[in-house]
Amino acid sequence: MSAASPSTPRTSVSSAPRVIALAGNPNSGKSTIFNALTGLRQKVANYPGVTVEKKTGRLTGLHGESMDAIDLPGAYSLSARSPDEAITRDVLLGRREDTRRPDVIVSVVDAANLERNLYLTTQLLELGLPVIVALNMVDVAEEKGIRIDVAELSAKLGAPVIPLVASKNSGIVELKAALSRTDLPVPATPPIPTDAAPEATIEARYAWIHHVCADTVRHPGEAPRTLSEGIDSVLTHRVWGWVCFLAVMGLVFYSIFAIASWPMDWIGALTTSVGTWVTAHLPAGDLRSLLADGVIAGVGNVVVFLPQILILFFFLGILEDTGYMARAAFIMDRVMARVGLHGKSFIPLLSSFACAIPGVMASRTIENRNDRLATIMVAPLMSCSARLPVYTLMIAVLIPAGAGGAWTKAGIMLAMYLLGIVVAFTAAWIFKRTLFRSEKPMLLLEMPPYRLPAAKTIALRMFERSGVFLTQAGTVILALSVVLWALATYPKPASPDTPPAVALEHSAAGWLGHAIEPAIQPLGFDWKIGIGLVASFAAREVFVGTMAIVNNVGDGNEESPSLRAALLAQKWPDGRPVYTPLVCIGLMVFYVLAMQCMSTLAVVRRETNSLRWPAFQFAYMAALAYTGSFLVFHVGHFLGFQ
Amino acid sequence: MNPIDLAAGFFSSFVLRLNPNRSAQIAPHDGPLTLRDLAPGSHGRVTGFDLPAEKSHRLLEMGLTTGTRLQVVRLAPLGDPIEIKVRGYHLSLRKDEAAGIHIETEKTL
Repeated sequence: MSAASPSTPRTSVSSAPRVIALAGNPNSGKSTIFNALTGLRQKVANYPGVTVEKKTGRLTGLHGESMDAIDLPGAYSLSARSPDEAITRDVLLGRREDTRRPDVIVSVVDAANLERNLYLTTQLLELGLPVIVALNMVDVAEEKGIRIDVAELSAKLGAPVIPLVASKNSGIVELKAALSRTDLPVPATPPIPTDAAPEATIEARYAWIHHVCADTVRHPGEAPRTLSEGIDSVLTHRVWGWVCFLAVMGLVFYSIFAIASWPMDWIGALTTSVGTWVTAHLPAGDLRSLLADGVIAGVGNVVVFLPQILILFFFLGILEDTGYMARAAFIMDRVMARVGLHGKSFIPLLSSFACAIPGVMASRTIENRNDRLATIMVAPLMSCSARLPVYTLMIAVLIPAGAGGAWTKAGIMLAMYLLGIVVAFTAAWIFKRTLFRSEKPMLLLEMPPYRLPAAKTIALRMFERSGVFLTQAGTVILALSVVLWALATYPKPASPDTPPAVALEHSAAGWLGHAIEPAIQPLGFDWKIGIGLVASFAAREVFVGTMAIVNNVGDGNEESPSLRAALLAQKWPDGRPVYTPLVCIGLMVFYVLAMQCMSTLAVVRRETNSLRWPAFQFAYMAALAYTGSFLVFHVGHFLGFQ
Repeated sequence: MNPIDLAAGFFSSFVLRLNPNRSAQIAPHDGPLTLRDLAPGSHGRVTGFDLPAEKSHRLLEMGLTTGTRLQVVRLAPLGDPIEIKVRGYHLSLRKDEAAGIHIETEKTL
């Protein structure tokens, strides 16, 4: 590490744009500053080989020059105890081939929480790069009665200090001016022994911070109780805490589930009408079928998830930015710890009741890799809204209409939801003891003061997430939709007048249905159900429509009496009915447990940055589903049920 | 005892049954005083750790250096984790770790 004198100007001869890196603790407002600097000119990707998100952007300096900005993952230290911190360290040291070593570091610190924030700064000052200290949230510090002598702080740190209130855009111009300077000093290395024992080094850093702050920061004698602490005494109260928590989670869940259903219906209707239009305006043939049933349906399959993703990330943004997310984790940690998960796993799992896609995407707030993977692996076991049509159809077959079974029906439905929850928690418990075994990770949860969320930050995150979903998961989903369409279409029947049911039976999907019949017969499923299982790999709700086609029923609706009657009429070659109560329940159990959703798999692939995890997830859930249905069928028979 | 606290106690210990440690927490025990023994509202100073190095280093980096003053703010509704205030910010950690943080209390605080 170079120990250049503080006044050495850094000469930059290369014509490549200057690279600036923003580093700071979580909750220091780093992303707000990044957004204020770069606006919409940002890109989100993953660092190759890891699941850490790489955020880069362009900004224009005061003299019109372009600069590249990197928003490094939030870190409390460079000692790299998490993948996020390892990336931060490696980028700053120029150890990553995919990222140019920064020319300037912006050390973002929270003025109201200066001592702990300066810990990372002491490490940044040792890297031999020019450092600019962005002293953020000076307004909050002032409210708390903290007075900071900026000039003195700058002199002691040997780096320019820019006071900011990034959420109000104040200080951004000054920060840009500092970034445009060509004579930025490389700070003197703080006098800290780095070859001592780690404990001694850490203590020495804090001792130096204490020395730096002694003359520059004045605290009020008796800290007054802040508004934030007042709010907390309600929101984490033993009774009101639960009331508020349930109300907030209820609202989030209701919105993902119910409010999103309107735009989802519009998207569904739009997809249908575009498909109809194409059918009406193109000559019949493979191209028309590919466009209408493959591409347009595939695009519809992708876009239909957008409302849920936007709504979830709207709420996640608010929960995160206000600081409530940390409180929710605080309240739920005890419950989640029972199965070895983290308080922060709660929201991804709750969201998965609406749809596992936003749920898996929401798991990004969990820093610990093992906790995050365990959460992602079990999230799709929560009964999502796409399973409802399957449950509804099976319950309708199981319980005759009008047979006074409203409560029974609700009870069966509830049992399916509970089954998913119990299996998810059991699986998490097992995974945390086997696959994701690590020394029981420590919970260290900062509880940031409550803040008003910034609309810009939330909007940016919503669009960024949607963009990632559309481009990365969307392409996979679209491709697989076309493949599934081809399976259900080819080989084509000789005569164009072949009824759809016969055509489907003779297609590759029908062949697959027949081919897997020996495997699914032990579950009581026939080849028609097999076709349904194959086709509904695209999305679970496709099962209902497929069952309507294979059984020659015109309207493929889960509540249609004709479909119900058709299913009840299905017989095995020896005359036994196919849809016995045990088969209906077994089929529902299968759908509770099976990973029948390629969209989720595509998102898991993207979020874990590997094919291994989605493959494992598909395999273990398929095994669970098979075992579950098998047990229902055979134990049920053994106990004398039909 | 006010009715809300009574209801809360009932809710926590009977309905949720997740909090067997709440009453045990004040019980005296042998060995040094730890963060886990502090009642909400009380202050203490960090004197050392009885934790694996990885955890104690992390706690040190979060500012819990020797001699640092901290205050227990509250327990989570289910009794765990614990929220503390240290160096002007709020941090929560589980009782498992709190039991490895040695503390001295000062009557003057």
